Amino acid sequence: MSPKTEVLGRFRALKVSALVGVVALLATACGSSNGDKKAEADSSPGAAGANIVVGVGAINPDLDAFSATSPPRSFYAYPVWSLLTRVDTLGEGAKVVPGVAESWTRVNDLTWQFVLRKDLKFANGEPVDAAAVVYSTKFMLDPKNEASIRGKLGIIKQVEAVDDNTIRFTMSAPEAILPRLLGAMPIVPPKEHARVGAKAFNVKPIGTGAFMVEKFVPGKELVLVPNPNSGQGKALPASITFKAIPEDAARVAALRAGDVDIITKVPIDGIKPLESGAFTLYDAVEPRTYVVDLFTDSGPLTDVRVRRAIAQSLDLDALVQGVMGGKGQVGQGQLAPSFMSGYCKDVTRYPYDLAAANKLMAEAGVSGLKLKFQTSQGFILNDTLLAQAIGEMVNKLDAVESVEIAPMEFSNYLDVYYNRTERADFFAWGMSSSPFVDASVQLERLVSGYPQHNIGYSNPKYDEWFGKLRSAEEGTPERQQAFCELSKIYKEDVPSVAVMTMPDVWASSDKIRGFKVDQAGNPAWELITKVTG
Amino acid sequence: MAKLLRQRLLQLVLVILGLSSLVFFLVRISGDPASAIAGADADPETLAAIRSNLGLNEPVLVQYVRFLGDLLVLDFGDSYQYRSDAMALVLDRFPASALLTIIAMLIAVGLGVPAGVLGAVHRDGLLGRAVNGLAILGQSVPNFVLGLVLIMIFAVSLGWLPSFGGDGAMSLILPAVTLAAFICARQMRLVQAYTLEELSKGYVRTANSLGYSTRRIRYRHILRNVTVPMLSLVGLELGQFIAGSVVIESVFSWPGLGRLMVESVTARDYPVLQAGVFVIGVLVVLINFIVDLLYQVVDPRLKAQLVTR
Repeated sequence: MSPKTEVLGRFRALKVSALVGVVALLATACGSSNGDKKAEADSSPGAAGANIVVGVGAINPDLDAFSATSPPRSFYAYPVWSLLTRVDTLGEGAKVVPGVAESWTRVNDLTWQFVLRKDLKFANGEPVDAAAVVYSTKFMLDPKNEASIRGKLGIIKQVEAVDDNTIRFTMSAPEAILPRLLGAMPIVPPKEHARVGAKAFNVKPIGTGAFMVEKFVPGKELVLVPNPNSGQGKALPASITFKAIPEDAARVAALRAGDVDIITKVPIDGIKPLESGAFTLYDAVEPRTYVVDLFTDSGPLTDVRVRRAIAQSLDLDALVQGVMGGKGQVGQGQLAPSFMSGYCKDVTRYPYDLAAANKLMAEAGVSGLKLKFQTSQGFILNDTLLAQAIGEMVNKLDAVESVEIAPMEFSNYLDVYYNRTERADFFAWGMSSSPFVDASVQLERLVSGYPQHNIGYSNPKYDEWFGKLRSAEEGTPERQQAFCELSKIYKEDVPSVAVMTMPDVWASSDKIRGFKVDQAGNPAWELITKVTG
Repeated sequence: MAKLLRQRLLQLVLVILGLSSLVFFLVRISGDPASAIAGADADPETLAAIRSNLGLNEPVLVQYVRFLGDLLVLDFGDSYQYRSDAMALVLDRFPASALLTIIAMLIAVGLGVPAGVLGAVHRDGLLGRAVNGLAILGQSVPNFVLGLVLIMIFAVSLGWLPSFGGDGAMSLILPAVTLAAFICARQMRLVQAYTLEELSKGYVRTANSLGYSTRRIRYRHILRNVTVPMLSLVGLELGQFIAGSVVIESVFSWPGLGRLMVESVTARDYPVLQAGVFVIGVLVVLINFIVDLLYQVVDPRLKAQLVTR
């Protein structure tokens, strides 16, 4: 047995979710699946206008779009709220398309001007105008309002209405992709928002999205129906009902029982029972890169040779195959996956080479290393298994005596992310660029002194190229060059190892048509139909 | 009786004060709720604003004094996650947990107690072995496995019952049976053990020699004596499961208190945790009080002791 097979065999044996297989066998013994008979009974005749039921892992306590940049929060909130622009991630490339704004121009390095659509109204009759954008932007910028998108849009220094339909943003530093970043900027009806307050508004938001909220039971259930004032055309389903089913195996069972039409986050072990039968699987990939941060400011990992040795000790193909059943994309030595704006073809990953890795360790003069690996537990798909597998691979290095895996509850894990508690040598993180789908969002995290998550890495050359990236317009050779230079430095310095782009597997009954998940991980709910018979 | 009431009331106050204080300090040691609320993208100013909005910048002792003042008027504040009244949230989830536990307990006691007595009486026969086997199986199969197996059989394959949710009587059956299986197995084991002990006592021989029917001896005399320790067990289990059958609630997406409490631990939602612990504390003391009263019904000696105290 090869070392690789041995390692994979060992952690596979740990999978508690193998129980799902046993359960599936029992069910098969008891008879055939009843498919989607209940879902069928719910559907209206014809292809469109059906009531679609979606089983999701969790439903958030509110629908606040000011703090909803990544799924699942974004896929509840974005279909309802008005957004200044939209990042169209359904087709090839992630292009910025009109939202509330129909066009925009860069006046100078620090100033952008946006022209709004004139035909839009909120459901309560308030106009979607410059005053609404100014109100919403000021609300977002006030730290008291706890908008987490301020982390990305805090660069806006001033917002002013040029006329009823024109807005000017002035920034504190150049940001060439402001229109893309404003794809996360919700626009609210000022009078209604001020009247009911943010807390009440976030439970029943009013927007110009394709849907509006019919019923919301925080944490349990959300029902969306088509919005007659939609700025994005009419939604095809009669309603979309989201139901919280936290247990992965129970979600798969609910689809098989016909209690729901679509499920999110199909566990890797739940894929097989759905491959046969009346179901369709959707192999989407999240714009989330699973990286292992190597803390560079103290300990043995300060030596770049040690970090390179660790990168070379990881058999990324085996990891993706063994832990993720081949789903997701193997990391390519850079933070951006191949479909993302900012991917650099010239940068390739270090090849898996244990002998070369041992040589590097010997050159660095290290031995008897006792390393610690901090990982989340249940926050990222198969996170503990990934950490165990990576730990086993690193442990194969001659200089490494042990790798201790430290799984953490989410809030403790966030404390490490925010550098508030003691960090170890390795820290696993799912680095998302949703909803912007641009590598700059991920690359920014390695700029010196990045406040949210500082892994101790600092390289003035990297900072200089990141500055150039911020000034370079989208789609220009200058911007692509900056991306490539940053990725080259990343590969050279190895502040982290980009292991893989995370899979995002969805499944539906085979009665569902038109279901698509975009590159930001958000389904286009408005396009879904369901056939009967 | 009045003395017992006074004792229990005092116990309630002490338990609530002790528990609430413990939870107050423990959750604050566990870390900062601001990062759990803001997620991973918030900037330092937003995090600071969250702390300030929640009053977490004040010294812990100041927060504690304010907490005790609010406790007197049962004001636990707003949930950090849900931004609504924490006690209302807890009370909203409580009935679902209580209903699930009570139905499960009725099934478990209804099946477990007679089966335990039969298992003891026929301990060397097929029935006794069957009871033993079922009790061991029920206790050793983890309830999430049993839950998934039941879902696959009754929801997926047969399509008789819904696979998840808390809407209507049909959705109660699978979670209640799953929860009952574990409690029932324990009841069977304990009733069997207590019954065996009673069977060897002198009063059973006397009853036999006086010519009492087997049925009368088993169900009037032995079962009555077995009921006293069983009451304690049922009381403890009621409190424990109403407080949170977390696994069952997750597998069946049952909207109960257990899931809310686990979510609140993860999100460091102090107000919900404190309100939840308060409700659970009151409940446990109340159940113990009811159990004390029931002791007197089933065992006249205890009633006499209480009267003379």
